[in-house]
Order: sequence, then C-alpha cells, then structure tokens
Amino acid sequence: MKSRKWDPLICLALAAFLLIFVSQLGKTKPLARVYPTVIIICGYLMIGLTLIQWFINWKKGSITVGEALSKNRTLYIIVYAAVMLVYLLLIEKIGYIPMTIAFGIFSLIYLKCKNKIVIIVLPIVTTFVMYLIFTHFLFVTLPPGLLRGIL
Amino acid sequence: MANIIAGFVNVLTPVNLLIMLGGILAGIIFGALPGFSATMGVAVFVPFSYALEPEAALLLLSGVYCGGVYGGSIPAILLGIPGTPASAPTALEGRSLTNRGESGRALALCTAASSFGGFMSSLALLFLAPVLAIIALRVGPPEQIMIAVFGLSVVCMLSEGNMVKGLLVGFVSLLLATIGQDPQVGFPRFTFGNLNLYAGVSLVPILIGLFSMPEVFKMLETEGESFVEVASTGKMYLKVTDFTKNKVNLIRSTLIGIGVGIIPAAGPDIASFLAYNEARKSSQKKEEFGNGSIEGILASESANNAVTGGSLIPLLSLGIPGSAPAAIFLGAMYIHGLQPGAQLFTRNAHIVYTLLVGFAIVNVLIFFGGWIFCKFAKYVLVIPKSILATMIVILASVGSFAINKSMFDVMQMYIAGIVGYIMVKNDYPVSPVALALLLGSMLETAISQTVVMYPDNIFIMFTRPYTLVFTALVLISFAWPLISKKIKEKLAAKRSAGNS
Repeated sequence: MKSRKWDPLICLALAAFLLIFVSQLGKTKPLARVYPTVIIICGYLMIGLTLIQWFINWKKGSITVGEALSKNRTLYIIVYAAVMLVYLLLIEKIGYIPMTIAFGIFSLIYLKCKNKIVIIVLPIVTTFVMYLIFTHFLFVTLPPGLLRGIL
Repeated sequence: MANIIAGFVNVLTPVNLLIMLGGILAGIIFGALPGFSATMGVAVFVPFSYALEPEAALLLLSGVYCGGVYGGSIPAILLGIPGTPASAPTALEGRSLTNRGESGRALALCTAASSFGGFMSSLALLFLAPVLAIIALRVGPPEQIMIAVFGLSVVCMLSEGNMVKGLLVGFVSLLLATIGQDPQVGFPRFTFGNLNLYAGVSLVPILIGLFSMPEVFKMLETEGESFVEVASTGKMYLKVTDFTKNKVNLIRSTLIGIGVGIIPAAGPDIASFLAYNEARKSSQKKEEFGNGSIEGILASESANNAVTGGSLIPLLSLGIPGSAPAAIFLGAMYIHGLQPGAQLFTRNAHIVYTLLVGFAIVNVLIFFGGWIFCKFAKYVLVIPKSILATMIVILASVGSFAINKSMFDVMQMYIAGIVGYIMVKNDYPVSPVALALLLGSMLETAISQTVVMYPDNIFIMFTRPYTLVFTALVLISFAWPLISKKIKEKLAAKRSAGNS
C-alpha cells in the first residue's frame, strides 16, 4: 500500500470526525445505535491500519511525496476555492444571474484567459442559457436575489 | 417481446432520440477532453435529467456514459494521450496511424468498433439482465446483506494498491449514510439539530462534487494554458475488408468486454488489454502491433465499449454498481424512484425496457455522432482550461441546486469537492464514497430485518443457498486485487516479450 506524507494528519482528522459521531451516539435510540457503533469501530480499526502501514513505509523510507505544489500554487488554489465559496454563499442573496456573471468573469481572468471578448461574452451567454434551460425546460427556479420582481 | 417492442416505440420518439443524441455528444466531449471522464459527465448531467421523465432521463445518462467511454479514444489517436487507461492500446496503434497521416482511418475504425462493441453488449444487457433479475426474486434480507457487502467489497477492487485506504473511506462513508432518520424507529440520528439533514446527506450533489471539483482544482495546479498540438483529422473511411477479415477478433473482443463488464470493478482497462493481447496472439500480422495495427484498434475499442452494457447487468438486476459511472447511474435511478431488482422488470417494465432498447440505439447513434464529432475534434480538444474550469464550476453549482432547490445541497457539493481533491492528492479512492452512500441504507435495513428473522442465531442465514452464493462472491471479490495483479503482471510480461 502506498503511504503519503499527509496520511497521519488525514487519519487524525478522520478520527476527530468519527469522534463527533461518537459524541452523538448517546442521543440516538438504543436500537438505532448498534449499527453505527460497529461502523465507527471498523473506521477506527482502518485508521489504525493506515497509520501502521504509514509507519512501516516511513521506516523503510518509502513514503510517497507526490508532486509537491509550490506555496504560490497552493495559495492560488486556496484563493480560487475561497472565491468559489463566496460565490456559492452569495448566490441566494444577490441572485443567480449577477453572481454567476461576476464569478465567470473573475474565474476567466484569474485562470488567465487571454481573449477579452470571451471573458465578457462567455459568462453572460452561459448564465442566460443556463437560466433559460433551468427555468423553462427543467422548471427549476434559480435564486432571483436582487432581481426578484424583475425576472 | 411485447416489452421490447414497447421499448422501441418509446425510444424512437423524436424527443427521446434528440435527448440521446445530446447525451452522446456531451459524453463524447467529456470523454475526449483530457482530464475529464465519463464519470464526471454522468455526475454533471444527473441534475439535468431530474426534470425529465424517468425513461428520457436514463436515455440521456446512457448517452453520456457510452459517449464518454468512446470519447476517451479520440485524444488517444489525435494527441497520443490515452484519455483513460482503457484507451492505452488505442493510443499505441492510433498514434502510429496518425503519424503516417491516417488519423481519419484510425478514428473511423475506432468509432465503428466502439459502436459494434457497445451495441453487442446492449444486446447482452437486453437478454441477460431480465434473466438475472429472476434470481433477484429469491433475494430476501439475508441475501441483501451479502449483496450490499459484495457491492462494498468492490471498494477493495476499486482501490487496488490502497485496499486499507479504500476500506477506511468506505467505513467513513457508511457512517455518513447513517445520517438522517434511522430505518428501524424513524428517529433522527446524527442530524446535529439541522433540519436539512433529516432526510440524510444528499447523494447526487456529493457525487457531483466528488467527481467534478477535484478535476477543476487539478487544472489550477499548472500555470498558464496548456495548448497541445492536435493532429488534423484526415479523411475518415472504412473498408469492408476491415470487418470481414476481423469478425472473429471483433466478436471475441466484445465477449471479453461483456464478461469483464459483468464482474464488478474489473473495468474497461482490463477488458481492453485482455482483448488487445488476445488479438495479437491470434494475429497473423504480429509485427504490425505497436506500429498502427488495425486489429489492435478494433480489439481494444470493441472490448472497452462492450464493458458499458456488461456493467449495467448486475446493476439493473441486483443493484450492484460495479464502477463509478454505474454508481452514479444507480443514484439517478433512485432519484427517479426506481429500485433495481426483479420488481424493476415487472412494476417498471416500460421504463427498464425503454432503457435496454435505448442503450442499443445509443450505441448505434454513437457511430454517427462520433463520426461527425471527429471532424471537429481538433477544435474541441484545444478548449482552454480557464473556460473548462469555469463552466464545470457553474454547471456543478447550478446542477446541485436544481435537485432539491436547496443551497444546503450546493454547500454539500462544495465540501465534497474540497474533500475529494484532498483525497485524490493523497491516494484515497473516491469511488467507495459513492458505493457506500448508495448501499449503506440497504445494508442497515437488511441487517435489522435479518435479526428479526433469526433472533436466536443470525448465522442460520448462511444455510440459505443464495446467501452462500453471494458470500462466495464476497470472498472472491476480496481476493480479486491479488488475482488482478497477477493478470496484469502476466499481460505486461507477454507485452514486453512480444515487443522484444
């Protein structure tokens, strides 16, 4: 089995995640508790096995590091993920159309799209085409936000 | 027979034909774009299928699935980069033909063989799935436990080389599947007081996030637009002799593909390499292999597309999703209120036979759709990653919202995407998440019912013949990583011996 540099940290996070469920076990009905308890025990066993495997590989010096990303690249990805989160959080308040156009333009510029016409036209066209498909063909009302009453 | 005719009538409506064609083209694009996959295509298109009638929805997803598997071969020929491991033999032979200025011929052969393999596998699906569904009639809660465990043991097969990590992901995902009302007393469990979690975690948004967002983040890892040189599609043509001389090769490869497809998680890559190897062994022009062999392309492509129909046989009859796209396909079926198994073929016969017949028509349409697409492939393959990433984020976000009109679902998609990226970067397989979320509830329900059936000694369930059969399958599946490793080593040894 391949082991990665960050495996112990991931295992720690998973153990904490399982612990959250353990803390909730008392709040469930006794009959509904058995199955998740078994799953949690198996989960902890697998965490233990992963850590043992990591330790053996670490001793042998065969931990896979993988392609290391530079700090700048990591930051670049984190910023994009953060902007994506802002887009998703504001989509309901500000509305699908303005937020999607804004996100589309940001994304294209951030990802270094060189064609200025594409940067402007593509987000607008995509947003409206998707809006038409979802509202008129799939009968899904997308969040109107600030445009409530206009659309 | 009446069901098959009714299926034909349903499929051949203009709307359904259009939906299938749309699905095929979208699937081909997803398959052809380097870094994208059929799985991602199916995941992104599930929300679009939501508002459609179940028949149309399944036809759309069939188109995306089959188109995606076929599409992976186009960059293999034009770029020399196999879109998927299953296209590796095609890349080997196709690139040689492309270098000789015969890319059009390679694409034509690949399109025809894919269509043939897929069509034959859909016939197997049409006739074998109902037969297997009869077995499903004899399936009670004890057998359901073993079916669910068998499905989950696929986790190990899908996580070759990372079995412990696969199991770890599987157990954590099984725990996620327990969120919501418990199946025994209907009391909220692990909901943390959040009303949105009373119905459990949202399967499809999570799958969309898991299978699409990591690709977007991976695109961000490299700087700038990575344009590659794409060969022009030359004149596409086929010769009758290509097929008359290769009929045994085509049939053998297709049968290999169907057989491998039925085995959960064996995958198109194994089918493709097995068929390619068999074709070389029985060829009279062994020296052409590796230098643009027509036999090699026909074998590899017919086999990997034959896997599509084969993989749906256990899915429709027993509810075992053998691969990631099949798991998402199953998720879509649940959304439309369809439960795999015997009842699917009785209660929802009109839907399932429309799917079965439609699957065959999809594979016929792939020939025409693929042929047209290949003419324009050069322009599609150079779409900049800035545009691709932006489109995927928007599609995934809006698609996740559309399922329950809930922003909570969109946030689940986002979190799944981030977690999926971390998993991919650290060799944790993501497919087990899909399988565990799909099968978790079935497993828990079946266990509680079996406990009621055998209150004194649950092990009595192993005296039931079908339980024993499925137990044997579980054991085989746990041994599969070892068997598969041996097969691959053997194939690699034969290939290197052949090359030398």
